[in-house]
Amino acid sequence: MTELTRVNTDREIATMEKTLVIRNLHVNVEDKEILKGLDLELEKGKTHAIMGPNGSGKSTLSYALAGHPSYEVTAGEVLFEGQDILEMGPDERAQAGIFLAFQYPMSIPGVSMANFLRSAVNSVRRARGEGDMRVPEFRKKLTERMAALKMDRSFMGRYLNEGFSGGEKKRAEILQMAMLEPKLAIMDETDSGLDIDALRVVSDGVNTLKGDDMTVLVITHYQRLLNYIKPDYVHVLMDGRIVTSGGPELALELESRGYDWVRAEFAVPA
Amino acid sequence: MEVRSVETPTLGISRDAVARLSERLGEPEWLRERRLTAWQTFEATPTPLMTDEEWRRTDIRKLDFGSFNVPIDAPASYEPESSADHRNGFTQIADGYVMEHRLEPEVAAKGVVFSSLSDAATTHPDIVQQYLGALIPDSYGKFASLANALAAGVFVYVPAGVEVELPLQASFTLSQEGSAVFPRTLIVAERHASVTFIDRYYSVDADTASLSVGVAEIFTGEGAQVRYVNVQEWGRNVWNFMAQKHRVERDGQDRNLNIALGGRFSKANVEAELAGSGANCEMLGLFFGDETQFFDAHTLQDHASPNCFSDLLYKGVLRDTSRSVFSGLIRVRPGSQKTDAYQTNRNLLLSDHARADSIPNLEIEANDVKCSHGASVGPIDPDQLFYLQARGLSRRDAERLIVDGFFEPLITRIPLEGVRERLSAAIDAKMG
Repeated sequence: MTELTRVNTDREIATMEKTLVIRNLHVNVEDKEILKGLDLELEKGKTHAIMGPNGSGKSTLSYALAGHPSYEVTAGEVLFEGQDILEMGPDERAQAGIFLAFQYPMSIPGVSMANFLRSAVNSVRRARGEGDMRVPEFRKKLTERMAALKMDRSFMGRYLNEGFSGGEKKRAEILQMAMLEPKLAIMDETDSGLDIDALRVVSDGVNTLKGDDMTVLVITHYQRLLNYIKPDYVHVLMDGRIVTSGGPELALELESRGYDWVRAEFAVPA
Repeated sequence: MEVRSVETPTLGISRDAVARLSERLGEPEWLRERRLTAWQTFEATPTPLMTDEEWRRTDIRKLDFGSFNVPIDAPASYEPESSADHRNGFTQIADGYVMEHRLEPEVAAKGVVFSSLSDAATTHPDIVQQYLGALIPDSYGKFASLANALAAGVFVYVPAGVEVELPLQASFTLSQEGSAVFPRTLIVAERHASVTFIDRYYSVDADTASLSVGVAEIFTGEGAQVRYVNVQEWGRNVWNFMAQKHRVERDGQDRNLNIALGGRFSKANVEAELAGSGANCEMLGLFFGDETQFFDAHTLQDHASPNCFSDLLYKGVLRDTSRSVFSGLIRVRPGSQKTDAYQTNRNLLLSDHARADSIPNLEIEANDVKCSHGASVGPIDPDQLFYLQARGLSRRDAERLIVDGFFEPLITRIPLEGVRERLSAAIDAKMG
């Protein structure tokens, strides 16, 4: 009985679907190489955390995955659900189901949250050959998702991120995620600037959405966020490469011991 | 049924056209004389050159007055404007001739006058004589004197204390390519009166160049409130010149919005004189250029009294190889203490080949004033674009949303939903 179970599990692992496969990724920013041959695989439906010291390339990875034009991929490949996305524009990647929760969301004056969310939802739907979401359905979904994130209705009339507090911006990011229902959510330093209450609300939002349909990649400097969004895997990014990976216990170890031992153990140049 | 092709008689821009027009419109002698005097000034005034400061960036060398025809009769047919907007009055003027006109009887019963200027010259000669040309006399310049000679348009008079609840609108259309039209608007709001007025200039795109030289004079009496909106949607081959002047008396409030989308060339002079203490004027402008369009906005906030407030915001978007010039002056005359005057011009460039020049000026001759001006010219922030694209919007849709947001504070000031919707559609079309 025990043996049979193990066989099943092994087979499961062998055929485990990968949401994202990154091989030997090199990325330049303003002609300086930041990612230097990064390899990473994200298992479908799992929560992966990338931790790393400042300047290790964490934000570069998130922007490069989302397709920011200033981040130049010089080598390597990125497969999302088996499809190479490096030739795709940022809009096409979003339409395919990749979502980046920005560390610093941009404000767009004069564009209401409601108008923006409707445009975003319908852009993604149209790209998938679905029609625009009907207004009552959109309103219902929006009302539900906002309530879950403890967002006041008045948010909808406000201009996108304009004058939002740090916490409001992060909530708005998670609301966008909840409305777009991506297959891969990349969270870039989502905990920065959040107090404990806001962190809890934001994390609850992510935890509700994550699961078989949504793989999560949490990029963070600190372990704190991982108390709320519990990772299945932790990867350490240093000097533009993933230098080691492990389970959730690795995050705790980094928290207590810092990064120097990783640097020593894996011979990362300082 | 017999089908006839009707050619509307026309004349070149000439003294003869001035006389024939006045006769055709059945105007009184004094108005005819005024027109002929204006014609003399037009003839005696040289065409502005690019060496003149105001025209330094404004090239009219290809403008040929001799190439245009002045329609001296109403067109045989016209395209009626359809609108579901709620208005207290509407008039459509095609090639200078009133084709359609209505004013709600209960508004007329309050003493409100809304008629053609030619008719008003006969029915209300005292008021028209007092105000017509008082803000924009022949001496204003070459184009103003031409308009004073040949313009036909509307007259609005709101008696003291009367509030016109719903907007009044005039639509000026140009139905024959190659013609010259001269839209004119005169609004007089007496003490504590209130009115909203919308001018719309419209024509379809045409191969042959046409000319529009317009003039608008807007008087806001003591404690009166006037909203004025001008929407310029001429066809692609129209030369548009516009002189617009507002005078605001003590504690009066004038809020104006000028929108320019059409034409090959469009120059608008918009001036406000804050003539009485406590006068208040909001001046808003929106333009969107594409292809090879050229827009020039020349504004003046003239503080001639103490304790007045003026706030100007002009916003432009430019695509392709379109160009714009904004030149704005805040003038605070001696003794105009406690003046509050602000001027802002913002320009968004959607192409590397578009260009916007912004020239703010202050001329302050009082020592207790608050004045500021600011200008910006630049492309869309690439990080804003990326942020929206990262949510699935195509580059075009992302730009459209940013442009919509850029114009949003101005569009919301348009008092008619139908006009707002048409404008939104026009902006969408311009986004390509």
